[in-house]
Amino acid sequence: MLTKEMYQRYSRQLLVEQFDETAQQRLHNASVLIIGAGGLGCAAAQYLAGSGVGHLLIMDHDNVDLSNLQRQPLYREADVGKNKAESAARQLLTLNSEIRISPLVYQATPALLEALMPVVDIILDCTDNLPTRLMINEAAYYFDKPLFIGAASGNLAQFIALSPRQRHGCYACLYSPDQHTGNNCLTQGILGPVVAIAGNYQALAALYYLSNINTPEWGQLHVFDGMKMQWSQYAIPKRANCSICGDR
Amino acid sequence: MTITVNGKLLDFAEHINVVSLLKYLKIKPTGVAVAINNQIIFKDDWLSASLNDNDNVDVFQVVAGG
Repeated sequence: MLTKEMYQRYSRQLLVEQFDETAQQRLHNASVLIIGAGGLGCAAAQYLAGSGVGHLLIMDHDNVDLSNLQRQPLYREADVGKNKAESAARQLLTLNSEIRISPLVYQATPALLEALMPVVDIILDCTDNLPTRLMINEAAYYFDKPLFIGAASGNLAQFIALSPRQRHGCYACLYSPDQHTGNNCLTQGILGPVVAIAGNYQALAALYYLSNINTPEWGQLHVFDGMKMQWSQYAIPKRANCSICGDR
Repeated sequence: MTITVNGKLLDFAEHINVVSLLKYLKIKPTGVAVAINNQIIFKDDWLSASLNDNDNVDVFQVVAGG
């Protein structure tokens, strides 16, 4: 049951034709693990918090750097040198104090993911390297949790929604570990709106899934080229011998 | 055989696979992904993935930053 204040706070999304009180209640009951509080995590977290997702668990062991402020709008100059997860949590609570936010000052490890997966509904992979992404993919499939992946570098953004219950390929069917080039925001640079586009895709797909008003397009790699202002889309087939999703 | 690679038409006298296409284009295979007709081809399958007339190939960068 929504309170009068909740009706007022969420009135604009409650006006969306497909979105109703039940959808809002579903968001209120949901828990989302956001791994990485950089450009992707900042973009996604602020909209999930604003929309009223009940519990956000935000994981990042890193500290805010002055060079982050260009594209990570949850942070202020006063946050430089402070932990990202804790700084993001503080800022998000000023946006919506009605929700729970748990800052997790950790680097993702298999053991940590094993402990967290059972208590969340979905995972947002907002990390910045291929080995960590492959580790998160494996944990999400083991614990049967939907995974919303964002990525960005230079002028390029990518988004993928994966469901272990669907018959598409997983992240390990998309990229091989040896395709890790080390390219990232440090080597290739990044434009703030480009990474925000990927993070906003993650937030939108998560809102649709959690509120149950729309089904994400599972198993598709969405590629955005900022220089052309164009999206492309590719199906990710399941590999028969995939050690993560092959026997599902 | 005519194939489209990243929007450009290319003609080949013989059938080729993804590996030989990348070699022809002088693209280093590390750090790129390949799709044929909007379907991802996993890297291990590039040698066996032969291209056919009128195929549409996209070669793009692996992106993992955030």
